[in-house]
Amino acid sequence: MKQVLIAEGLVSSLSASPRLIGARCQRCDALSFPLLSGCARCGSEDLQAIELPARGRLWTWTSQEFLPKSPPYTGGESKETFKSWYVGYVDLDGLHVEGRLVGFEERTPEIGEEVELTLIPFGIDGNGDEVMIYGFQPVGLVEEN
Amino acid sequence: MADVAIIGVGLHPFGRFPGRSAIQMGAMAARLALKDAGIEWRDVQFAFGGSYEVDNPDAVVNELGLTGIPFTDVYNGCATAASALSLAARTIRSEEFDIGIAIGMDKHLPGAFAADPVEYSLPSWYGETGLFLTTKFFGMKIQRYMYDYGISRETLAKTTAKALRNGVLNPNALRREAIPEEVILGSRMLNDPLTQLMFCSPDEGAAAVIMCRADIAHRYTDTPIFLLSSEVRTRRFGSFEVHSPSFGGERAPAPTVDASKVAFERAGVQPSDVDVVQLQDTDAGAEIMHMAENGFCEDGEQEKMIAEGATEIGGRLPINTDGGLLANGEPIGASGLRQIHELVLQLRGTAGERQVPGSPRVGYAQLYGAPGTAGVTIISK
Repeated sequence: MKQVLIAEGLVSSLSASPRLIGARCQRCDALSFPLLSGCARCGSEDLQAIELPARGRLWTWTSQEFLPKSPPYTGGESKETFKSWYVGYVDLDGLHVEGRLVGFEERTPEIGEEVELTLIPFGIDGNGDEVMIYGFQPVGLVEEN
Repeated sequence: MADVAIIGVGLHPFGRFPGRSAIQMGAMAARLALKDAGIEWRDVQFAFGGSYEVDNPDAVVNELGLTGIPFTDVYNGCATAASALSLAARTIRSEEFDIGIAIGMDKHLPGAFAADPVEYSLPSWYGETGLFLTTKFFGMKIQRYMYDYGISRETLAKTTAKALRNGVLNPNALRREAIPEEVILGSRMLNDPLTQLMFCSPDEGAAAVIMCRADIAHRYTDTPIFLLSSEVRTRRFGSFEVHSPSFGGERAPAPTVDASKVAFERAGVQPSDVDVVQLQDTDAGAEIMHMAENGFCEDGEQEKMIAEGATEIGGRLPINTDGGLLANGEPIGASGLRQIHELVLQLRGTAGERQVPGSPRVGYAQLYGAPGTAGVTIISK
């Protein structure tokens, strides 16, 4: 099945080692994600797209244990089929990025642990393609499996 | 510059009222405030109205009287009522008018709020992937705070139980049933560590506050309450806020910290002068963190303070004496004016069963909401 990203410009590639696309302000050096029209710190429009680090430490987390309202949510589950997930913020070089957490079936996430970017199947779109979103998983999860 | 006095407050109960519109509730709250002040609608020279669901809160004049006054509608997330109040106070302070009203009203459907992330300057994927939710932000903020400062899950339950006990004493509250801490901890987990009972519910209600120049307040009341300051601030770069795909750099203080500092400065009082407090308790964790953000304790002191009952009605720092958002729910446009209503009753000494002992003199109210907006109001007798 063909894979597509949920949005263009979000992630560098659908490869095994994806990177999130953020921005570095050319005036004040602040990092931001995602790419907006101006820097969140100083407002400069002179932003350079950069690939954010793949690994970082978990800064905080919670569980999402109820089905989000649709719209805007497009996950496609029903109340009956919904399975709760974890979500958190990961410190990537000082920029704290929010995303889903996967690979925590056996235990809860821990603040401070090292996680890395991964792509997660999200559903099938109108063209029959598999939609991918980004998330973070414990480092070493792939090797162990 | 004129000083500002509150001479009338009115509140339509918070809850669910099938068949009654938000505008009708707003009109009822306004009439109660007018009666409390001993004036009529034609005496009111200007108005600010706040609502999330109602496009034109100013349509309340259809039911109160078409007197031609300037009536400005405001919306500022959960800080809507603080914005209406702050603008009304500034209008009097600037001596443009002598007497005016702030009215807030709302009528929400049950369940979490839903909106379009694009209208929050967020990408569509943020909503599509299930990240555009306020409740999980509160879960993540208190999760980190508990890790940093040793706050326990039991303290979250104690805070909720206190709010619900206070709600029992408040005939205008949505939830009026005391619930044991173990039941609160054992209710359905929504966003770890926050269970369903630890969150407030969007609901319905209205509130109104009438203000005038302090030097004419004696014409209307023997117990004027003075509005010392009312300030609104938004987030700075680096603060951890609701609806943020990322936040960067050095951690900056929350907007509540900024609003609180300037409000204390302008009021000329200190946190230790405050006798009764209203904090934004969207969830139990928010109340605990807001205690420190507003300068009432150091980070981490809450664990001991709450165990000792410091935030109870009879404690040394009574917080959310009417049950706060946890017991009253949150009709966004009215929530902050409900806080002022309660503080005014407390300072007048007319809060009945939930009256704070010792004749409280200074009251403090704080609001916080999406996308990172805070409002603080300080009043005194």
